Amino acid sequence: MIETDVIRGRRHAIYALVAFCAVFFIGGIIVSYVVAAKYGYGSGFGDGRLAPLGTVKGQGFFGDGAILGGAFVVDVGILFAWYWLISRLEAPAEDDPLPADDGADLSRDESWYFIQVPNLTRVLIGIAVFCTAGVAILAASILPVVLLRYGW
Amino acid sequence: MVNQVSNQTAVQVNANKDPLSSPQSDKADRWLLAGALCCGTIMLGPLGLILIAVGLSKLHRARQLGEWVRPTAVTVFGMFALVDASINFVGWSLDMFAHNTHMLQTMSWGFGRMIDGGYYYHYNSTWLGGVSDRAEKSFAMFAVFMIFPARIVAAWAFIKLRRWGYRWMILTGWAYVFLWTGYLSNLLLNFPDRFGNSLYGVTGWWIFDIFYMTPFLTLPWLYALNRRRWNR
Repeated sequence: MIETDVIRGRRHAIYALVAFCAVFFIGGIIVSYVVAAKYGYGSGFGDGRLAPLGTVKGQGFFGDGAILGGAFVVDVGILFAWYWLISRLEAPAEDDPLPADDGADLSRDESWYFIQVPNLTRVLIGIAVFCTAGVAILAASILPVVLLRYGW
Repeated sequence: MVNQVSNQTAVQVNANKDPLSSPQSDKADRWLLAGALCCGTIMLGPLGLILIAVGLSKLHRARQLGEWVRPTAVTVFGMFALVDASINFVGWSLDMFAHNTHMLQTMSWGFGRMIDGGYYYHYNSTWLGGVSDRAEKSFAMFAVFMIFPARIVAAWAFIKLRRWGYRWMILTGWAYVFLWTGYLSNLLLNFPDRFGNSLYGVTGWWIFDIFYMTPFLTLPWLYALNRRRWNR
């Protein structure tokens, strides 16, 4: 395959992936509502059927503190293990060398792309910023909302 | 260059100064990392966003001062992946390791009643504790031990232009797509216990979870990049 065919092929595949993203989420949402209707639920607002709750049972201030501290230590350990493993397995070596410097002007954004998709990049950046904010704010809001609504 | 430290020890020193590292961009990266760590705590997410915004503005200023910095898109997508993976990792690991604490039960049960019934229905009833849905727990194991810690380190290495960071962003991106597919299928198959057992059902779940679409956004963009640039 010649270079222009490779570039054209990869560009088509990139846009196919973007289309797959749209199909996945639009399809997923539609199927969710179809299943909801099949089970006799509506939009989800006000038609949920809540099961009875048990009783919240912690281990006391120090017990809970120890568990949370232990969870933190385990998390850091898992992260370190992955860092240790990947950085060693994938380190550049003679059998897998780094590419040679091609002398490109790295201050130009175009030099960073093999397939030039500036419009797609701009759109994806906008969605990424929106989603980063959404993920962080919604996750942070869980505990305050739960405390306000259901108490401790 | 070989630097003789003592009679017995020789240390290899890389004499090439990293052209991509400058005081301003290093400082900006520290702000970004602090922001990602705050977001990873889940509760300090808004503070983390502010720190990330400061980091991005410092990178912008460094660029205006003529310092060489990586393209903004690299930082934005790297941080998106890092924040998303951190929240998933910490959230699921709390369910895995801290489900017996008062705080986790309060949080899970409240979240379950509003968004996903699986998080309060028969909670702590299996030998592993936490969420009782078998498939959800299996996804949690996959998330906590495999995909998200790997994605966190990959995202940071990607931002620092390590080759393995780029490779593992793609690898964990695909793994995340597979996770989404299995996870959503399980949710729908288990509809009465999950969506149906919550106050806001389907609409609430999608409003809450659609923001986790990281891999679907980053994968096409990653394949447009020139992988030669990740050369350290």
